[in-house]
Amino acid sequence: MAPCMNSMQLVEKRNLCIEPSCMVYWTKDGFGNEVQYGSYNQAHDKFRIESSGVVKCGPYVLPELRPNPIYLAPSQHTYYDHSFELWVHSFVSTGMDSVTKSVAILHNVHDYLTYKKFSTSNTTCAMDVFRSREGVCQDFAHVMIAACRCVGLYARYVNGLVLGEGETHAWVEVYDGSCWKGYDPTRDCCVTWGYVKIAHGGDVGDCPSNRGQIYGNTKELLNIKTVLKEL
Amino acid sequence: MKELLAARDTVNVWMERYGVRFGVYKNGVFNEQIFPFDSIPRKIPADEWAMLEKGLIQRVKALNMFLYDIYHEKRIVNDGVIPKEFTYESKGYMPDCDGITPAKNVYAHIAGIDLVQDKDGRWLVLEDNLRIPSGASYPMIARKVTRKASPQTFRDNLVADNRNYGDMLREMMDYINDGRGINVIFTPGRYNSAFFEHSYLAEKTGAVLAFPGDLVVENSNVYYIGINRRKHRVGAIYRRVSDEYMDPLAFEPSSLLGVPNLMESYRAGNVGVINAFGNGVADDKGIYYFVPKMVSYYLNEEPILSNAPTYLPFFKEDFDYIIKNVKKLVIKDVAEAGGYGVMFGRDMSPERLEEVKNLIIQDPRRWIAQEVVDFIDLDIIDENSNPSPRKCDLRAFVVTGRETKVWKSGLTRFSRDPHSFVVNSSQGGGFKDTWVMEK
Repeated sequence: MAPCMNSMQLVEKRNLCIEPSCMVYWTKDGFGNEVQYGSYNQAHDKFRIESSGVVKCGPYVLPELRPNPIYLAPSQHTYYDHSFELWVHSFVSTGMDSVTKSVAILHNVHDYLTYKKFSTSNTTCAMDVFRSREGVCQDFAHVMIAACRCVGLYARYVNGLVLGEGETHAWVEVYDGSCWKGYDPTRDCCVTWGYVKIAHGGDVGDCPSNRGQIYGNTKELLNIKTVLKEL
Repeated sequence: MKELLAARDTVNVWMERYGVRFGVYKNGVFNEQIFPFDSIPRKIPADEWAMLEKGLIQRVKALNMFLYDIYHEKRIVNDGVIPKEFTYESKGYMPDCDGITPAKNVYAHIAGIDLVQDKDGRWLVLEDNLRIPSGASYPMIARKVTRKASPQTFRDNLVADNRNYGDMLREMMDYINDGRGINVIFTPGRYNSAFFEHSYLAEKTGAVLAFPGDLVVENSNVYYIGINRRKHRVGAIYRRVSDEYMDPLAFEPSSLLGVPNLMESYRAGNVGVINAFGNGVADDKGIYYFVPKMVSYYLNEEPILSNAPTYLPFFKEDFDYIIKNVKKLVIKDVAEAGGYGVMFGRDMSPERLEEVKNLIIQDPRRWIAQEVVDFIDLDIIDENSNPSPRKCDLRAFVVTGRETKVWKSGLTRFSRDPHSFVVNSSQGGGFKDTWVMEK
């Protein structure tokens, strides 16, 4: 729920405010993301989480020596079939280097899909989007990840914030042989400036903004609002 | 032996009273049935057992080393011994477990290895079960009851005592437990197919039988909520619930069975989970093919036990062979267990054969093919009180704590009808006692 600390992103200040108040523990998950967890076990009619802070951003490159091979394997949301492979090979050739491949995939995914709000849900996978050709940032990211993995590039899903948007955003990191670099297929650009990373994983299932359980007989309404400003 | 057969009815009445049942779900309806017991035991001679024991220990050691490797350095994949398609793409591989070392570095605490003996007397491994292999309680109770019904039998025959399974488990749990908490057996509840076993093992190991809702995680520690809501710290959980339902926050969010944040406590090393999370990657039917290779790779030894002849359509050569010979092979879905997703080529209509071929062509990674092993028949006493041959397999239980040990007994299952090769209890089969002979 809070921006992560790494070599390109310095967190100067962060605050987590939870209502009704309860104990919150900080830990890390299997992908190296920071996780805050806790529980509140009395009756309540709302639950509010406010996370705020100040982040200093550097150039978007994350060096890593040996990326985890799970970022090469199809996951639940990024599974693909033969027709998808054919499509990807129509614009990626084996002779290209990894950055050229990534950029080709970035543009083609962006051109192939149309952005349409509420057209998909959080269970939609890359193949569904490949067929319907419409989706939101999460779906753009999944299609790009699937395409990268099918030509042998390590790719992972990133959850974060971006300037000029009122919700969380999703983009992709691709490994170029020494570093992870960011690509935003929704906006058709390489990630440079104005992106604040929160978490990453194999696909959206690995790094949702929040998850939990509520016991009781009631309707649940989830609202997410984000504000990101340049200082 | 004669006394034992004469006491057959008494044994069955007692077994029924003890509640030796097996629940089967069919079309969403839960039915409890008596797990049919046959009084003629399977005998395994001492020398044969000695060989089996060595082979099983070797195999389970290699599997444990593989699990550590695949969630840490991944040497076996990097060295090209196992293709990555069979590890990271396996449904049993859990990315969340990457880098976690479970307590005392044991993954498969309780392994259930399914074997058959072919007509030449050779033992072949059919399957490794490293998640939550069930079945040990049935031979335990059967021995207890038959011993009561016919004590003479066990004076006349030199049968290895198998009453130590509870102690073996207890010893292993104490070793995994960091000593600051209690041992629990975590059951999904009364409507699980193996509930009899959960309660029986809790009794035999002296562990607390915990139900969903009895366990909570606070500040990375697991607690059992006891009488007056008093909290007792838990050091080891022998869980009888599959991985994906164990922690609704880390895995399947709709699970009401699990313990929220258990994964966090496990990652912090505050609780031992038996068997470890993520073991599914090693008992996948696809990875089974590579187990003899693991033995040579990690232990630098010749594998003592062999697999049934297996082909992976993933490899070109095997693929061609399968497509040509599908009629005489048995095709298995790698993701299924309990006798589901098993298809015998010889029982299929020509149209169905074509369908199956297409399935294999579409997704080669999902299937394996095996030669049909003509394994031995053992006599059972059928409904008309006549001896009648049935196909039998053996599930051996291998427990790993400080050391790896094989329980001197096992679950011998037989198929319900004389022509079937499927012996799984979920498919209506029965079981026999397994006698490991002292001489």
